[in-house]
Amino acid sequence: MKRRPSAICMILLLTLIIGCAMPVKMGPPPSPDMSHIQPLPYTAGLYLSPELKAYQHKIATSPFDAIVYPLGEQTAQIFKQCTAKAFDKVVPMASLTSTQGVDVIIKPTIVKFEAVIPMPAYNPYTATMVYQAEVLDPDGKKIFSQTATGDSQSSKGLMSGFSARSICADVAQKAMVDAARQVMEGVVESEELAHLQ
Amino acid sequence: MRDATTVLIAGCIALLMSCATPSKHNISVDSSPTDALVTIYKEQDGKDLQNKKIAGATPMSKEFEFGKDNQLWFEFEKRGYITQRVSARPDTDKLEITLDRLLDSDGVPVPTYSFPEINRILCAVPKFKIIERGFSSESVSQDKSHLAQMELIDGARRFFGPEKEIILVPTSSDPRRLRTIWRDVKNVLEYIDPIRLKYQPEPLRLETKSSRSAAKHLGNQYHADVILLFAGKQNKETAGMLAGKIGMTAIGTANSYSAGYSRAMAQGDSYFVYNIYTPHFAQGAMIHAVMIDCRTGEIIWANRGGWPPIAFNRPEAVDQVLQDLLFGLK
Repeated sequence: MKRRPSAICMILLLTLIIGCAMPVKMGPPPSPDMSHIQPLPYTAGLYLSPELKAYQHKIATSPFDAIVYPLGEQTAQIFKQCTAKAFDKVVPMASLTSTQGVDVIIKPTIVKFEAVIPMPAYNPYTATMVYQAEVLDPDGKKIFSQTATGDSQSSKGLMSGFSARSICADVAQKAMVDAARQVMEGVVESEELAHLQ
Repeated sequence: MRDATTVLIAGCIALLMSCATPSKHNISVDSSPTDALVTIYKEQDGKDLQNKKIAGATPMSKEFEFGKDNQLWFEFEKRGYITQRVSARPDTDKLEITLDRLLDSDGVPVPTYSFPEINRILCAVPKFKIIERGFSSESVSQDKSHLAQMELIDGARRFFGPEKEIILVPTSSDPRRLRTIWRDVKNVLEYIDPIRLKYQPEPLRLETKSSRSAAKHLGNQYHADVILLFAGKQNKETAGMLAGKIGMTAIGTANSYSAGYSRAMAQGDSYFVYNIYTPHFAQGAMIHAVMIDCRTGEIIWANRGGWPPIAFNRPEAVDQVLQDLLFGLK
């Protein structure tokens, strides 16, 4: 009889510990508004490196708790959306060696991610994301790079503590979409790609 | 026995004193040419932002605290010169170095820092917003943000006076070029160190060719020498939020009082303690300002600061903030 309560306590404790370090849930990113720019009449290869796709950012909030952001997964989704609005055609690339049929290659990277998880919980939650996209020619030679910074702030006022993890996810996602949108705007509006032919 | 005890106590005191006394030594630091920024590192290859300290510009003479390694690394930086890092020990009285000129990719010496002559300043509508934080949500106040943006421009006009003309470029007049410039400026604001800016060996420029061309085009179009940009935000808690926080802390204090009182009564104590909770308000303004040379796209000046909530409907309050923020630009 004594074993059962101990076993239940152990299971609960393990679940708590594992749950505290699980990635925050980030839904599909919102589609960025790029209606003010004209897509370029090129075929772009989008290369998302395995390191980028797997990237996670961890912030320890206490000795027993951490917030893990699945930045790589989100970045991949966001750049797929943004490049589709920036070029007439986008081709996913598994590597930088298979470049046939593309006019340019877009290779995004995460330069920096910062997030403020406030204490007390009702203070503002903020996030800043800096992306850099390298624009390469079909031979893999760099044409130019565009860096952009996106930021976001949110809170639910005095009710923030009840939805802290979702606010963290929401703020991070908005910062990422903002940065990616700006990067691709910069690529589209660049002098270098204006007369690529 | 007493002698041994005395010796032991004296030894302990001596040991404690030697541990507690930092190893500080005065060193005269100079460079040729002068006015090089000196940064102190605890390690030779130290890049750790936490363990570096800016000591000042040469020439200087001050006390430096040496750690247990009894060695510090002095890094000398000056625009147009190769950065050098030399070590010093506590027995070093004088540290003088000669800096070598830095050459660009064409073999031409990088110019030293100079501030251009300014007659006309171009401004864009500041990227500044006022966020009203309420009891259950927060949102950007468009009206108050617009007021703040215009007041920053008017405040800049008052700061520079009639000697320098400020021209505001409406966003609608050239949205693409302004967007291009803002995109690269936002990155600059993320990384820039306003103190080190003029000492960095190479000038800091807008990253992309497009933004540098945009700055040049606007400078030519408006006959302006520089572009001055403001960015930032102000968090302002609403009356509901403030009242809620005060209410929460009052309830918390009352609960603590009543719990302490009840315990004291139950145990027959003649005194009790309780917590007094005070509300914590998270509001204030952060403003960045950056100045760009239209001809080259070089970032020639930058600053940033934080203030308590600014009353943008009072010009004198805005003037006080801009006196701090734009310090050194006159």
